[in-house]
Amino acid sequence: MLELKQINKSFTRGKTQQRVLKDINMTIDDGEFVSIMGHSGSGKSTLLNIIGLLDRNFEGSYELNGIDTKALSKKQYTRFRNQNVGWVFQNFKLIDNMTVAKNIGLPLLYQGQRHADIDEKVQFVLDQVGLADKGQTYPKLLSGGQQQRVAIARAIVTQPNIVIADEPTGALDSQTTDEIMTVFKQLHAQGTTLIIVTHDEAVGVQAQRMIKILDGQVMGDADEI
Amino acid sequence: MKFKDTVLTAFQALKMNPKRSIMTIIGIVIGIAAVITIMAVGNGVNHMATSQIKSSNKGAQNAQIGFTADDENDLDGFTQADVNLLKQSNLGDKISRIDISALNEDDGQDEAQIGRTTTTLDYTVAHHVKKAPSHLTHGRYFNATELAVGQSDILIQDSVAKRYFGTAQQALGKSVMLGNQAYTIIGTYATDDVYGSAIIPYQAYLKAAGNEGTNLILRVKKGQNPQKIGRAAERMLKKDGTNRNKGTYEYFDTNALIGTISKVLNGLTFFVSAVAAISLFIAGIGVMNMMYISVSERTQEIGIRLAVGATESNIRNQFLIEAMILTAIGGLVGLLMGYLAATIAVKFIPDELHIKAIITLQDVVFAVGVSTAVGLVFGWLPAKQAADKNLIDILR
Repeated sequence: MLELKQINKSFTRGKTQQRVLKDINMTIDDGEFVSIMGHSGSGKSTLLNIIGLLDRNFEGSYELNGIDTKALSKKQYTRFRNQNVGWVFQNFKLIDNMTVAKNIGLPLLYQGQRHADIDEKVQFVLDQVGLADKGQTYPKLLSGGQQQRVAIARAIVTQPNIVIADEPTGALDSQTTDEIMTVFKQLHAQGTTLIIVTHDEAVGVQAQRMIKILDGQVMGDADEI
Repeated sequence: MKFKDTVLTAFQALKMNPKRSIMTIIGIVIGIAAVITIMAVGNGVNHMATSQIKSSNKGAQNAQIGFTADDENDLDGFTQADVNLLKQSNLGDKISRIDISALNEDDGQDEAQIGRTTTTLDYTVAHHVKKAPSHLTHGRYFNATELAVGQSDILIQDSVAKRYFGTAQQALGKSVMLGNQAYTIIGTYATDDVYGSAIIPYQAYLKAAGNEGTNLILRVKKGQNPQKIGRAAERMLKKDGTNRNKGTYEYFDTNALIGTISKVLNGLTFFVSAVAAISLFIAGIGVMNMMYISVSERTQEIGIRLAVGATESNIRNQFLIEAMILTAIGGLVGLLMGYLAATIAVKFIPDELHIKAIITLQDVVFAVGVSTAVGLVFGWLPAKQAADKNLIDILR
C-alpha cells in the first residue's frame, strides 16, 4: 500500500517559482490497477517520479509499504526502489549493446545475485511476456511492442509490489498497444499493483481506477469507470 | 553488485569501441616503454658491474699497471727496482704483494725458437683441465698432474705446426723454445678465438718467468681501494720508474668502461624519465578526454542503470575501472615494448661487456602500478561526473 500526504513540489524557472504539484493526497491499495491521466504539463509525470521512487525532492510525506521513504538514506532508497518498484518507460529505455537477457537481468545484477539464479529468473519472465526465444537477441532487432515487453520483463524480474509505467504505449501503434495492455492485465490478474500514466483515454479507461490531474491537482478520482 | 560483475561490465564497454580504446592507450604505452627500456638496460649494466666486483672480491684485489715501450719492442719495462720503489713508498703497507708479469690476464707474448726460425709467439696459459680448446686436431691436452707441476709441454695451433713442421702430425714430440724454456709439443688445435698460437700450463709459465715483464700486478690489501692505489702507483712510476724515458706506464682501470656507461645511463635515465612523465601526463589527459566523451555518449545507459538499482558508487566504479583497465593494458603493452626495445638497445653496447636487458619484478610492478594510477587519477573526474548525473533529467 502506498500513501501520499500533502505532496507539494515546485520548480524554479529563472526568477519565478512554479508549483507543479499542489497538496496531493492519495492512497493506492495493493493489487489496484490505477491510471493517472492529464494533459502534458499537468504534473502527472512529476507525480509518477515521486511514486516510483525516482524523485525524493518534494514536500510532504510518502509511505510505501509502511516505510517513510524520506527517512531512507540515498543508498537504502536506491535499494528500496530496486526491490519494490518496477519501472516501464515510454521509449523502453533498453541498453542497446546488451542482449535482451542481460537487459532484463540488470536489476538482479545490482542486487548482487548469482549468475545462475539470474539466468533462471530471466527465463521465467521472458516466458511470462511471451518472448521465450528472444533472450540472446539485441533489443534493436525487435519490434516496438517486443521491446516494450522486454522492458516489462525487466520491471517484473525482481517481483516488485508495484509496477509503474510512464506512457507505456506512447510509442506504439494501436494494435501493439492492445498487446501491451493484455500483458498488463495479466500482471494485474496475478496481483501486481499497476500504476499507468497516459494521456490516451482508450488506455486509461482499461484501468480499474482513473485519477485525473490538472495543473498539479487531483481533479477526479473514480473507481470502476 | 559484485566487483567481478563491475569489471565484466567495464570490459564489455571497452570492447564496444576497440579503435578508440587502442588510440587512447598509445601515450601510456610510449611512456611506460621508454622508462622500461632505460631501466632494463640500467639493470643489465648494474648486474654486470656487481658481478665484476664479486669476481674480483673472490680473489685478491688487483691493480694492474702496463708498460708500453716507445721504440724497442723487446723492452719489458718493469724491473725489480720498480718493485722496490713501490714497496718502499707510502703505498708499501697497502700492498701485500707485487708481481711482474709478462701476461696480460692469461695472454702473453714472447720470443720463440721453432726449428731454426726465431719468431714472436702469442700464447695463453692454461689453469684448468676442463678449459681445453674446442677442437683438438692431433695429440692431447694437458692432464691435471701436468698442469699442477708445470710440466714443460706445449700445444700449438694447427697453422703454426703446418708452417714450421710441414704437417700437424709431424709437430708432435718436437721441441719449441719459448722465452728461455724448452717445451715439448704434445698436441695441436684448430684456430680458436680464446687461445693464442700456443698454450702452456700456468705453473710452467711461472717457473720460467724472469723478473722482468710488461705488466706489474699489485695485490692490494683488504679494505684498500685498488683504483686509488693503481693511480698513485702509476704517478709514482711516471716520475721515478726505471724506464720512464723509454715508454709509458698506464694503469688499466677495468671498471672505467662500466663507469662511463653508468654515467651516460644515469644522464639518459633522467632525460627519459622526464620525457616519460610528460608522455604519461598527456596520455592521462587523453584518457580523461575519452572517458568524458564516453560518459556523455552513454548518458542513457547511466540513467537506465541508476533507475534499475545501480547506486552512485556502482556507476562511479564502473567508469573508474574502465579507465584503469584501459591504462593497465597500456602499461603491460608498454612493458613488453620496453623490453623489446631494451634488447635491441644493448646490441649497440660493446659485446665484450656481455650486458643483457633485464626486467625485474620491480619493473613489472612499476609499469602496472604507474599506468593503473594514471587511470585512477585521470578517470576520477569523468567517473564522478557519470555518478553525479541527475536521474530525472536523463530519463525525461
